[in-house]
Amino acid sequence: MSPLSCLGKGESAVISGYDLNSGPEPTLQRLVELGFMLNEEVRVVGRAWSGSPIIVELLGSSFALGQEEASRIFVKVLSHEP
Amino acid sequence: MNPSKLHVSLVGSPNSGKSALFNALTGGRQKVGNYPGVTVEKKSGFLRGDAAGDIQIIDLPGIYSLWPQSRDEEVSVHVLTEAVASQTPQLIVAIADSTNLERSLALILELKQLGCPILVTLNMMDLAAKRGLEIDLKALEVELGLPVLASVATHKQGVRALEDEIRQYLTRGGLKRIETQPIAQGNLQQLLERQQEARRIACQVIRRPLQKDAFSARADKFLLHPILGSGIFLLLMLFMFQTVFRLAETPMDWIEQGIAWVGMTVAQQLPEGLFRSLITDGIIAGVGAVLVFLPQILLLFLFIFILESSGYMPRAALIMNRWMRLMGLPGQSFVPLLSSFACAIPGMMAARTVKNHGDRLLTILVSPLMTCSARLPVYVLLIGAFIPQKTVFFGIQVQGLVLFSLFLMGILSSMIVARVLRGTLIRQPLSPLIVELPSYKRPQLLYLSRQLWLRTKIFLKRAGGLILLVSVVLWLLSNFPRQSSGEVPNLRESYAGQIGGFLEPALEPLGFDWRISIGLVSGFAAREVIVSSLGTSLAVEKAKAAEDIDLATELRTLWPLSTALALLAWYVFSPQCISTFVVMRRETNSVGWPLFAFAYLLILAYGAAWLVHSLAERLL
Repeated sequence: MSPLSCLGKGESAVISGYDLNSGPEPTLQRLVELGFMLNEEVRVVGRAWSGSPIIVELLGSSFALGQEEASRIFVKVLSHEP
Repeated sequence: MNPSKLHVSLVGSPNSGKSALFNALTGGRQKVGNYPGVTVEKKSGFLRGDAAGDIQIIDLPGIYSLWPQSRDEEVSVHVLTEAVASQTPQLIVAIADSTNLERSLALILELKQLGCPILVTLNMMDLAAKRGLEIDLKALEVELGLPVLASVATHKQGVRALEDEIRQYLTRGGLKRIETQPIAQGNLQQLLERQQEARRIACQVIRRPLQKDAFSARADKFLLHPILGSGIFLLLMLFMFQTVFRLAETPMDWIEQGIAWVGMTVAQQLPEGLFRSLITDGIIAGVGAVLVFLPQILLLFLFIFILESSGYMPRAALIMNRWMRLMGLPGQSFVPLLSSFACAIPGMMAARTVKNHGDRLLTILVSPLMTCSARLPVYVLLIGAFIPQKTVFFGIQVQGLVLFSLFLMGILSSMIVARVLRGTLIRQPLSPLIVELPSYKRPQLLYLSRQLWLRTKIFLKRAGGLILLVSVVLWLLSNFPRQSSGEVPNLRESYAGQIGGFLEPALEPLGFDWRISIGLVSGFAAREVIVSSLGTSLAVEKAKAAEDIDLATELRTLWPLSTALALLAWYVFSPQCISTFVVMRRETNSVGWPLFAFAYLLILAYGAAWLVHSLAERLL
């Protein structure tokens, strides 16, 4: 299990958990409301050179997440598609 | 409950098409856009054809749940829960974005807890169909236990059926409340359970899944590329300001000729005297001087509307995010700040979407630094008069380049001010960065033309109201007191001249004469009033009719280049515009912050104008 923020461009993963301790709950709440749900598949499609933000695809929509926000979501890596 | 009146609240997640549906239901002209956070306050209207005013439609800012995180979301949750508490007959029209079904369903499940009747409409069905999505509406009705309709609000499809459904609620003679459950806010576990249920329902009703939006994905490869994306963004901005100058030239000439013709005709019809002077030197010269800039303002708005409705706006926010965070502003501030290019007032209101209080305050405080459309007439007049009409490279005009630099100076100074404030007065952590990137959409010609027409009406109303009033007042101040012989006074000895003369010593180090002083004072009503003020005072001073005054030529003979450059620098910060500070007071709920903003803008304006004037005097 690794944080979503560690995924490279083109990598797909399944959401497997949340970091409940290292930040405000509203951030996690908003992520869940947007669809970052357990067992949902997510794919990184872009990443700034500085590492933040990362652009991910989820449920047919695209989101830009800051490094800190993306690290609140734990994932299991599925595959790498360049 | 009073069965004869009905409140219909349009509720849905951000960017689900609520405002488009509101416009379709009420015949309104509410602003819509392809990004979250277009609506930041409650708007209401009546259902089309409802002459009795029995069915009030309320457009609410988008929410993801009944657990609000920003001011705009609080407004929606407050309206919904208040109606429940006060037993107001309320029908909720839950607008679900078909391309985001799971998310919309989770909100609908939560809305059910309010106990009000709910009508569900699956909006943007055209986009869903294009991407291969098929939803079984009947199955969804069964799963939710609510009536479900389909709509494409932007094309008014399905709106008639929705209207009929709403009317039926009223004619049925009252609204039955459905089973109410306690609303639990702020509970992550419950939220997760609701999302799981939404996912289960979505799996049950989706017959064919949503395909990837290939076009948006391909476009984002370029538009969000770390280097290419920034380059494209800069080129777009440069193109925008070049076009504002180039394309507006001809229509501006037409308006100028039209105003000259009106001035000449009126002057020929009226006998010489005070009344003719009021009409030609006061009203036509004053209002006409501002009207000329309508084409440029409309072109600027056209670009902003295209960026908004295409879905590029949040991408631009993302491109700017790194720089903005470096300067202490969150990425979410970009959209409010971009709105401030039209006017700081909607920009400050759009800051309601910024979650963190400190970030919101910071956004509000720096929004007057964005170059609003009211500054455009001042910039264009001075650039046209003092900057040569040369082309430098790749067909780029110097005048357009100067205009672009002035806009850029506004942006850069806002970032510097934000950085200083973040390190001193507002020391709070930045809001989290979570931005949804909507699919690209082709801007609709009808919507663009309607919005431009609306901006034209606003501009003409302003010219015919506030600017007309200031022009008349300024004409009076310029023509009185009369000399002992009854003659018109020398402008320097008139009331206007005396006011300008009183301020002149303070503004002399900037190279500003008493005419500019009057213009800056009258500019408190609206920034562009300085243009009409100069138009009126020069017409009175030269005793010429409006058609004989070429403002740019007159200014060139009156002022040195250093004065013009200093005035441009002043207007980058320009502390004028009372309404900005009134709204700032309302939005910050404090008198201190608008006073602080006025003080810092005044210091910056004075300092920049003095610096530019001193340097120009020495170097040019």
